[in-house]
Amino acid sequence: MRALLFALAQLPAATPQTGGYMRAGYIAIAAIVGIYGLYLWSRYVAARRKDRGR
Amino acid sequence: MVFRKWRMLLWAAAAALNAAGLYMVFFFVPEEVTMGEVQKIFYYHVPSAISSYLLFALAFAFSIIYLWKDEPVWDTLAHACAEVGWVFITVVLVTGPIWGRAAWGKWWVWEPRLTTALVLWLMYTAYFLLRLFSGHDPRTARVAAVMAIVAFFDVPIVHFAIKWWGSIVHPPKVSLEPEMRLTFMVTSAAVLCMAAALTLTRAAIGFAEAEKLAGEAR
Repeated sequence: MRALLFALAQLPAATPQTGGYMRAGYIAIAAIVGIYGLYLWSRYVAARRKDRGR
Repeated sequence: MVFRKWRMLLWAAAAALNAAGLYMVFFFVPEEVTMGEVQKIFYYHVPSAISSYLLFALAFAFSIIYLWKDEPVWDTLAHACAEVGWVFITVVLVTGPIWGRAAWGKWWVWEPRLTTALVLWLMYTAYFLLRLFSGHDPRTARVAAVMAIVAFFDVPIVHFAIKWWGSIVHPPKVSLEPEMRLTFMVTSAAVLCMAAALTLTRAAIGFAEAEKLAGEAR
């Protein structure tokens, strides 16, 4: 057991577990661009309606 | 509405490149050893910063032309560029602290690049507040043009902040593995196409709304 623990301690340090932050970052990007896209889409639809109305 | 063909083309390119870019980020590019998966924020964080710099530069140029020629078309273009640039600098300021929390253990550090980037965001926020609450008269457009010109001077300060004052968190130069470089090139093209598509769409909407306002005034 002691030999196994010693062997494990010799392994290089594992890469930090930061996947949660990565996913949070991409969700934030999707949210910001998505909200702006929706805002732009609503203005686009309104402007097109005015275009056709004339 | 104007730019229809270009808008369609850019939206199609943005959709295809973003699909490829996201696939590469999540399934192709290797994990960075010291920071882990969070480093993958880099592939959209940096291209968003580049896009915002370019759009603010265009807003700066269009504002100068507007002040010089006094034609509303240049004001509409400057407004569209500044608005989409603001969206991308917001992406940078939101993703930066998420990355920073995992990599440095802090959400925010008052170091030169972060501080000057926040100042840039605040200046363009002031630009939109001015436009939002001052109506559509030419005087507002002229004051806004001056604001866009002044605000742009912060862009080189943000970019060279590390070189001029040093930084405890941002490296002066980044070296990438070949797979990382390829992924970065694809995501950069994706973000630039998306920025161009959003800007042209926003400009087309601006022209249609200005036409409607002119029609009502007649």
